Amino acid sequence: MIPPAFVDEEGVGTGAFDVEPAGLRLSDVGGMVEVKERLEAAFLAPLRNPDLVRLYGKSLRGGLLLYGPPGCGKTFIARAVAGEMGARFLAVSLAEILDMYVGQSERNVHELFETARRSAPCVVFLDEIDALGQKRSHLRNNAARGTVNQLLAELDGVQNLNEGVYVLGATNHPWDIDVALRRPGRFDRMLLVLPPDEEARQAVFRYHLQSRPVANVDLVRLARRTDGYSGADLAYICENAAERALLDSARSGTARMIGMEDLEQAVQDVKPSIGPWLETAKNVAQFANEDGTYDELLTYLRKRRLV
Amino acid sequence: MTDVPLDARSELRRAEALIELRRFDEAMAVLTRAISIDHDAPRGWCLMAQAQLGLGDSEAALQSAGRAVALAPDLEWVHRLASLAFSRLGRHGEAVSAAREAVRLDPWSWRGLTRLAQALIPATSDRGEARMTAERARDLAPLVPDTHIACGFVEAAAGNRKAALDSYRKALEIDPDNTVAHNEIARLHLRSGTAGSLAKATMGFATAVQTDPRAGVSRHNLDVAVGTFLARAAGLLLVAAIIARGFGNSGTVASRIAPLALLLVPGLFVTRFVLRLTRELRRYLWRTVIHPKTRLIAVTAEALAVVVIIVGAVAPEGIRLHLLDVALGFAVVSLFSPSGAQDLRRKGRSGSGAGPQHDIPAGPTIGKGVLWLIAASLAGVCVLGAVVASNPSTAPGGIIVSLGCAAGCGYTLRTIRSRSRPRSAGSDQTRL
Repeated sequence: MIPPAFVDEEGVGTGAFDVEPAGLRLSDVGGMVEVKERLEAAFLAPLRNPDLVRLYGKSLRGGLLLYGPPGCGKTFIARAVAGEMGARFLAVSLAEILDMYVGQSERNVHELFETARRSAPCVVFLDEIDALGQKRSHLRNNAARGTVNQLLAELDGVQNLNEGVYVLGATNHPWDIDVALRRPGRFDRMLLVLPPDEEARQAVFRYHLQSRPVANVDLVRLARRTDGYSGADLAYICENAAERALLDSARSGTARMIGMEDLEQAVQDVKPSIGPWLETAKNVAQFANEDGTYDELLTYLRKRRLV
Repeated sequence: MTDVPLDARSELRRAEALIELRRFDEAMAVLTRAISIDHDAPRGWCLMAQAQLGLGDSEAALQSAGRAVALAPDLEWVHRLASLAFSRLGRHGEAVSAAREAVRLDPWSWRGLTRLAQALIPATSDRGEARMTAERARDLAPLVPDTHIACGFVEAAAGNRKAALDSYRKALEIDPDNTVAHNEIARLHLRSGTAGSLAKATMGFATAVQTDPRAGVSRHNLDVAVGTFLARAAGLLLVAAIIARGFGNSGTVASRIAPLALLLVPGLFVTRFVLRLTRELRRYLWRTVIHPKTRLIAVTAEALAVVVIIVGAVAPEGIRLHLLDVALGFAVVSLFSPSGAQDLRRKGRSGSGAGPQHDIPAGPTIGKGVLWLIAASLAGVCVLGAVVASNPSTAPGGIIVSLGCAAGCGYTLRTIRSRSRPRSAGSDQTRL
């Protein structure tokens, strides 16, 4: 039951959160075989085999936290996970999280989970969860602290109401998240989503170029040249190349196709955006990994000789 | 304060949340929107100044704070923000005036008092008022770590190491994850010369990085601590090599044992330092030493100096002096090589770090005059080395000494040149 609100009160009503069909499957995610395998092992397989899980005395509770550099497809993967599970998808973005701060934060978090429970089976996807579950020691604002506490209570599902509600979180900064959120039964599994591999990069290029006039584009060569670029960077490269061709066409008065030269020039102009993230990630992997939480990250950084 | 339209009020609260989450870029976008709705809201300009300070743009922050001062001159917050922006810009006198105005408007605000205490530190050599102000802030808010940290800053600036340490430790009792307190304790340890203190400093900076991986300042300081260790080890080795060289002409047993005994000094220094580090930090130290490869050359020169001194101690009299010359040369190369320990310290100083996390008073740095003196001395020794190298019996050592000093001279000149370049305002305040 949602209490009535005053006319000048800011808050959410019943329809504040949109639940929608996921519309994607993991097979729609190009490349990223490793991520898919780990996703299957850590999250999907136990959910598909609940009897086996119970037989081995494991719990089905607990959410999955996707983390990694920005623009690498965490949201896309979360949607695909919902699709794999045949569940509905309820995504909460940063803007909605901020609305929670503006309105009555605790009530808004509660309403979010109530909506998910009503729509079960449903995947609640908390994008940029660091904004919602920030370390309480960092927060001066009482409303923000209250939001974290309410989120913890909802995840625990005090009255065991979370049946059929699966919680996925995504963040670029898992180290900013309150440790209480990572305890068993909450976000107790973490999955590193890295910049797209070569196959995924080809898929991203194909996706962004498919509706544009292109000629003689060698996707394999492009993918090879863009190691370390995020999905968002690749999209920007395509934008940049299209802009170049457009300007050229406008100047000459004859429309021309986007060519390999445009794309290669764009690759030169666009630098990988994950540099600052890697700087922080290096600090975490080297100095804040006593319990092995970031072993996956450390392995990646070592493989790239960054530490 | 004027009434703020509802839309703008919501945007301001969003911006406030974003600032709290340290998402300053996104906060700026929201604030631009909010200010376009209501151009005369002092809170909007204050938040704008706060976000700009978070992004390290002190000049813009000062302008925003100035705008807020014009709109609400009776608001303590606006003067406090202006004071912080002045401090970051190095305009310490104006920072003190703004902070005094903030305290005058709200004498019971620990934030205003803390700001005034910190503004006073670089502005005057008299620590009395700063100490009194910081202590008053602490008495008003004894459970706020920032007030203890402000007391620590004042005591550290006054040279009261113990009192400063006590204040920082008190802050850590309240908030064990306080990055600034960890960083400041480590900074105090770093100033002490022993291997134990240096190890404590290194671990302190690592803890600060651990508590806040985005603390670029602490990461920079960690590099400086490791660079200081490598530089001190190389310095001790050089001294040992110079004294050992003095025993080169004598054929007594004592003169053979002396170089080995001298090696114990840098050896003990290195052992004490390394043993006190955690396993993680030892690994980090090792990676620092082997990467990049150019630094490996400096450390290899150091190792070779040790080996050659040992071999020199037991070698026949005829070649002993030559070997000790060579060892001296290697020691010079390891200390002054541009890719060695000194370079690590320099890299730390210019490395990419996050914006200022706290307005920490500046630590001591070597003046430009001293650097010119060092460069001239090294150039002189370089010439002497060349003269020594002209004698066939002392040629190898002379050449190495000459090359090492030339490298050191080049490095010092490069440092002088880099000091002459303008630096981004505020960044030095937070660094060693």
